[in-house]
Amino acid sequence: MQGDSDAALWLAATSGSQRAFVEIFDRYRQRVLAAAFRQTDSFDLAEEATAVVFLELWRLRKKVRIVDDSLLPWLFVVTTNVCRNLTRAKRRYGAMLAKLPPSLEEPDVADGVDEDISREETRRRVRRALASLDARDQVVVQLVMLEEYSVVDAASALALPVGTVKSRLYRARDRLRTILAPADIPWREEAADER
Amino acid sequence: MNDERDISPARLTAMREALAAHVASEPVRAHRTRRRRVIIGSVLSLVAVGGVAVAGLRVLAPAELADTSIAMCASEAKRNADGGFNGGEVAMSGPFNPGVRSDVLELCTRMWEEGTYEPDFDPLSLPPEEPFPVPPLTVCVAPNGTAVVVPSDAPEICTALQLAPVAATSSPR
Repeated sequence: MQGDSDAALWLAATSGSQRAFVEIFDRYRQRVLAAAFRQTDSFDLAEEATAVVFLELWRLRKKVRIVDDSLLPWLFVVTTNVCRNLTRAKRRYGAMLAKLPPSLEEPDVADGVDEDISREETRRRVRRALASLDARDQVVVQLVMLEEYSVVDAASALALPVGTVKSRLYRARDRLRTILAPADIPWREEAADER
Repeated sequence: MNDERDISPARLTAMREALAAHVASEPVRAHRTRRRRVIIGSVLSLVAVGGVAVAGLRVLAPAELADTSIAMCASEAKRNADGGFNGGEVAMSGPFNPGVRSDVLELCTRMWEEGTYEPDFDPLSLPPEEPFPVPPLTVCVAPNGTAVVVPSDAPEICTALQLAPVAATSSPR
C-alpha cells in the first residue's frame, strides 16, 4: 500500500479502507503541517488544522480533485481554507480534537538561537502580509509561490481557468511587493513567471 | 519550521485512530440514509405501480456517461427495495485531469480482485497475494448519468435493472 499511487489509495479509501485513508494521512501530514504552520504561526494550531484538513478530505470526498496523480494540491487548498476558518472548523470537529493529547509546542532545535529571533520576525511579517490578501488570492499564492506548483496544476486544483489563476497571482504579487521588503520575500518571484 | 518537523508520537497515534474511526463511522450514516430512502422509495413505488401496470417495463435507450466523477461498483446484479445497489461507490478524479482518470471497469475490477465483496473482507488487512476471481462486468448508465458496473455478462442486464446501456459513442472511462 505504501508504494501505491494517490489515485489507487484514494480509491481504496473511498471504498471503505481505513488503512488506505491513514496511509494518505501519513504520506502528506508533514507537508500539510508545514503549510498550516506558515499560516497560523503556532505549532499547536497547525497540528489541529492538519487533523481538520484530513477530516475535511473525508467529508468532501466527492469533490476531491487529484492533480497529476497527487492529492497534495487539493490538500493545500483545503489547508488554506481551514487555517482561515479554523475557529469554525474546530467547532465542527471539536469533540474529536478535544480527545487528542496536547501538543508539545517544542522549540525547533534545528534553528540556531541567534537566528531564531530575526527568523521569527520575518515569518510573522510574511504571515501578516499573506493574511492581508484576498482569500482567493491567498490560496493561489500558497499553491504557486510557496508550494511551487505550476499555474496549470493550481488551476486544476481550484477548478479555475488558467487566466484567472494568473491574474490573481499577479495581483497578489503586486500587493506583497508593497508590504514586504525584498529580503523578506520567501520565494523567487521570477519562478511564478516561469511556471 | 522545516518540513521534517512532525507531530508528537502520542498525538500522531491519536490522530490516526480518530481518522480511522471517522472513516469507519460513515456506514452507520449510510444505513440511516438507506432506511430513509426505503421509506421514500416505498411511498413512490405505490404511486408508480399504477403507471407501470399500464406502461409495462420501460426499455431505456442507450445513454452517454455524463458524469464520470463517481461510479457505483455493484456487488450483485439486482436492485434493493429502495432502488439502490449493494456495493461501493468510487470517486474518480474529475474532468480536469483526463490523463489520470481511470476506467470505471478497471476500478471496479480492482475492488473485486482485492476481495472487497468477500463476506469476511477486512479493509485493514493486507491486499491478497492472489487476486480474488472477478466475474464478468457490465457498465450501465444510471438516470443521473453516472456509471453502474454490475457483475453480469447478460446483454440485457442494464434494461432488466431499469438502467440504460452505455451508448456506442460513450467510452466507459
